[in-house]
Amino acid sequence: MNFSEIQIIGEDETFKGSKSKYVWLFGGIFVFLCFLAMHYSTYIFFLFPISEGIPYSLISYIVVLSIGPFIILITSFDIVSSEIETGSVRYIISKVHRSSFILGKFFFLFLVFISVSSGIALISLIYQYSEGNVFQLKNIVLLWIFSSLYLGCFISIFLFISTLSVNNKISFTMSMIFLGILIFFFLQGHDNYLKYLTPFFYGVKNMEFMKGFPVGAGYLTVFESLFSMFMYMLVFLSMSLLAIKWRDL
Amino acid sequence: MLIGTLIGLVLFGFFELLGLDQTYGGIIDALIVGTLIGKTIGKGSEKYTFFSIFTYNLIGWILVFLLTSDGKIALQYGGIALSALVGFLLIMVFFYSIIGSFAAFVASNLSRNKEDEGL
Repeated sequence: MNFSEIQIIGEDETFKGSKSKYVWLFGGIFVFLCFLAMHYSTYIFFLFPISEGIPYSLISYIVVLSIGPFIILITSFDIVSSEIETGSVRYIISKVHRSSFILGKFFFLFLVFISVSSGIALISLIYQYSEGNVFQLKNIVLLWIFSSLYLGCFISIFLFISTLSVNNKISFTMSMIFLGILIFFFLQGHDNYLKYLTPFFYGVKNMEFMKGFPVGAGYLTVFESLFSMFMYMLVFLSMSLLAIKWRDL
Repeated sequence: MLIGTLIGLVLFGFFELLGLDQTYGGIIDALIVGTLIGKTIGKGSEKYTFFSIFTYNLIGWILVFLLTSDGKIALQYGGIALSALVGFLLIMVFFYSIIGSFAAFVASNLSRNKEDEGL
């Protein structure tokens, strides 16, 4: 692994890669969907207490939780498998280390979706400010961090599946299957331990922080949430690195 | 596939004997059988795993219905409740098979390439 190699792969993907425009387009669509949700949330104002106003950060976070996985699936299922399918991966790994290749791809997607989360957080902040609500910068920062990490978990999952697949078709099918399995695990109920295997659980757990920043011991809960999501992401990223190391390309 | 089905049946009986929650038992069983078949067959093992897990679960549940007192009571009672139970079981078995197939896919692709080892 070499940082300059990771940087080269990441920059190449961001500025020159044929997939870059496609990923940015879907990122833009995602931000637009969040904007629409916030814009039309004025119709459901009666659901929230008048004193607190409409919780725009919570609404945008719910959109991220529900649509985010599908947007990530569409943009990242073929990130490695298309290179394997066309055979271009052989030329790349002859120049750079295999792990740098995977990490470069991961950081490209992660940076795009961090930007997308920033966009969503910014729109949420503008809406909150224009509606005359209390200025809650802490909530917006939490929305940005949690959304980025939540999307990062899914990026690492689909990157892992894409690394294992020989072509885009298999990668897409397996990604859909895995997403189905995660939804199945999550729907098993709150008492079931299977929920800990899904990023949905960690994402939904963080919803409470969108209503108000925790005080006192709450800081520890925020840290715990951040740590668990980070570990989840790290596990799948390590598995991707292991898969590319062992694979015959 | 046959060995996978047999191992699956043995594990099914073992988890049933232990009284482990059906969901956990089914998933652990599917993961073990999926990994074993994936490691043994290699590429293209997903469909064999799917059929293997589906088969041993069906055989296992038929045996549970026929040989246990609870199963006999359910069969004698019949009616809509039994249809709902069978439908629910089929859906669960389908999900276990999919989980097993995914495990086989991961195991077959994560195992080191055997052709490379000789070089």
